[in-house]
Amino acid sequence: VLATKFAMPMGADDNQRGGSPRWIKRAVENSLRRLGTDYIDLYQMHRPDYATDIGETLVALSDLVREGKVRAIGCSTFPAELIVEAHWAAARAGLHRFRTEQPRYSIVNRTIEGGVLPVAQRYGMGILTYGPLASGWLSGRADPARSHRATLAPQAFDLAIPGQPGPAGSRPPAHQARRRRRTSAHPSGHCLRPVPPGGDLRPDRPPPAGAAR
Amino acid sequence: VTSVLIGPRRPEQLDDLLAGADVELSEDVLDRIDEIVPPGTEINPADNYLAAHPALENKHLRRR
Repeated sequence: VLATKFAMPMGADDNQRGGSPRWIKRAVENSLRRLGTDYIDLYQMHRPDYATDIGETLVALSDLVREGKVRAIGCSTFPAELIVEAHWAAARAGLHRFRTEQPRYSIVNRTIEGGVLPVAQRYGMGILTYGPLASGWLSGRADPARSHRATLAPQAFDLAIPGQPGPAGSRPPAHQARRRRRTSAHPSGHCLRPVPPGGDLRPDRPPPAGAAR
Repeated sequence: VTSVLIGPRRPEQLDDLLAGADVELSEDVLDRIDEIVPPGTEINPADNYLAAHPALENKHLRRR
């Protein structure tokens, strides 16, 4: 499965990001050229674009599916309500719908269990989780405060902030993870199952028992 | 969960992660995890992965 994404900033221009039809048309051509392919199996919207109507985004993405440039579309780090809105918009207008969601999920990031996962299960979406080691917090080795992610979101790694994974100066999650590291990177224990081409991504196939746990 | 993106940078990281592929956590371990981080919550809400609604970060959007 060849999957890639659009919507994160790809230049200084405000129009080189997001989910506008204008940008999607350009972004997909850029991706096809860089990847040296004439179609993408799964084209995902990297982040919500609150400045663009989701229906407009789905029109542009549906065009790509009909043109054969993209086989399926998905979203990433979407809140549950926006996934629902996108499905309603797609159903109303006869558009292709998001077949997958790619959320962050780990032992320390379980928010999706309350909304995104149940919604995805209801719509028969595939779930491709990222950050199973929480950007390094659970690796037991890395220093997350000096990671690439920390440069993008320094506030997320400031141990002095109340509610952070531990008191200032300590790294208890990494410490705890050291003991857990060899058990699993994933709360469900069902980690690292590769997606077979055309397999679990098929929307007409029910999710396996115990999925989206 | 259909699949997990593991993102290794070095071969030894891949080996380490693949070693966990067939591990099934016991009920006891899962219960313990639930105690540390309750289901549906997370340790650090400030780390929203650049996906928060803009109104959370821009007070003018909240107060208009």
